[in-house]
Amino acid sequence: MSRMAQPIPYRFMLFVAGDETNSALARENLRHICAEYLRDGTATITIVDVVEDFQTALDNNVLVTPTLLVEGPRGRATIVGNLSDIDRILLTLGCNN
Amino acid sequence: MGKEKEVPANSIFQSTRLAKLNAGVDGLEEVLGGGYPDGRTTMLKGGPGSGKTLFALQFLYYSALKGTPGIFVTFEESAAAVRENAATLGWDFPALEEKGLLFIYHAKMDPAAVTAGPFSLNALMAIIDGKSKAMGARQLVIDAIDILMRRFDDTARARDELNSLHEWLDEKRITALLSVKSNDDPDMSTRFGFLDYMADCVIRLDHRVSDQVSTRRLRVLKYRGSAFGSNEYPYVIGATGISLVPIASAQLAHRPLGAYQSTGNADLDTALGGGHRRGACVLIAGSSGAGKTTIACTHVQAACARGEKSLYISYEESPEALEAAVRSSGIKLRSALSAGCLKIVSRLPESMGSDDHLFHDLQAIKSLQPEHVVVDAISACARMGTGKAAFDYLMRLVTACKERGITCVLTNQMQGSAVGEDLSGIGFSSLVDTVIQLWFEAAQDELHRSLVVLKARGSKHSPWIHDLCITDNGIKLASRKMLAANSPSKRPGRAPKASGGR
Repeated sequence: MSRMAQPIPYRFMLFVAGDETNSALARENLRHICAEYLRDGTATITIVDVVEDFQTALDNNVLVTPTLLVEGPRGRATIVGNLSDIDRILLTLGCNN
Repeated sequence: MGKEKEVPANSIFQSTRLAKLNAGVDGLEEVLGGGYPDGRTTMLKGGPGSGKTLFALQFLYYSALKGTPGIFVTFEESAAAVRENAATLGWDFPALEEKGLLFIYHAKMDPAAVTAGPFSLNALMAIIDGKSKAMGARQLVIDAIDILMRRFDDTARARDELNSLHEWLDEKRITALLSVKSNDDPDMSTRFGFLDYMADCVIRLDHRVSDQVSTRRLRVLKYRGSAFGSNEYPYVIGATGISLVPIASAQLAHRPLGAYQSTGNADLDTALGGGHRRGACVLIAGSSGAGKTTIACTHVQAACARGEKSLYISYEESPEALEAAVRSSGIKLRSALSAGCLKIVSRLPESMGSDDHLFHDLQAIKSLQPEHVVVDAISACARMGTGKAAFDYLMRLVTACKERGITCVLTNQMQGSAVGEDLSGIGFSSLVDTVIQLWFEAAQDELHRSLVVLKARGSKHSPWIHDLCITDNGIKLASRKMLAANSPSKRPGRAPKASGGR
């Protein structure tokens, strides 16, 4: 598979609001997804805390937290919520095989 | 459930006065008792074309003009579209944005966003918080919040999130206007009904079309901790924004009474202390046949002789019948009609609703630009529907005239002949500047017409009862000065300014 030779990287931007429960869950779930389902080194994660940096949220039209902006092999995608629905996320990321 | 929240609000009302912010909409101040509640949330509900967004923008615009910054968050339109719409009303938004007095944010959510678990509006709050701190803005509009709410899978979650947004806005003491689409869809009202309980002030905007006449109505559904006008108020979207069509509380816009002008009869001028004041509202009340229409037509004829225009709204007679009826008293309306200084409009009161009557009359005033308006007779207006409809019609018509400095002559047919308290018959005497009462009196073998000036605001009018004669050559007045001077109080129903009569 081409994945072996040239893994297409995922770039994640996770918007959280401080350490409220859903934000903490989202961080944990994202880490879990990367570790379990994505190959090492194929994902970069940027965490934006909207409480500290509202401008980045504004620029990206992020109105809810948690929000995960994805750039991956299937292009861009927006996933909202605490990322607990793993199946749905894998489907969106295109790595549910 | 929302009811529980209203208890502390009542106590606030009792203990402190609520601070309010000018809504920037003509006439809305009076309805809201000052404006939107300061530091609280107001909901604007309305269907398409009702002007929700405009109400909200107008608030921010006029605040910004006075140097108070505001934030406009819209879920519906692009910032460019908002600026364009504003420009059509002559509002220069880019200039205000440049000065940091206005921030327009199109909160455009990715329509393809995938939901993977619960989320909250913290990011929106962070954006509002960050912007409001940066600009020093405490005034916020969130336009089309229903679009945001649709992003939540279930209503309960949406409600929780909106409630926490509301609590957060309260905590931050931000004055917020939230606009929400509403229609008669019962699904909408069950989904969004909780908003009514949540907000501190709820204003419903309604756009309806009946008989090809488009009308817009505003109603305040609630205002926690404050009294408010609870009627439906008409409003218009004009060339420079929204304004409420005045009903009862527009005296502020009335022009002061102007110079004296002749009534067309020297005797009557003397009795009135010089004639009618320009821009006054004159009420001629009396029983049938006592001479109300004759006096009104004398006024119109005199106005025309001075080159002034009159609009005669007749609810009793056709233009031809009216013209013929007063011709026998030497009043020549035909020449006034052909000279173009008189327009008689004749309608049956029951032919249409009071709004439509008003609409037509205001249009006629607009096109004719008269100095005088006669309504003959206001007693017929009750046939437009309810007494309330008649009251609103007359109140709005007279108010429109007063704002334009137009002299109004209203006739009112009364039952009986006693000097009464409410001569308008519908309780708007406060708008009336001059009251002339006519009645019949039996003297020996004949009936005499009698006239008294009950009130003439700002004039030294005659207190005496006059004999009124309608001759082939107009009206004549003879003062019964001596009679009345000798025994004014012994003649019940005849003494001027008597009260307690029917």
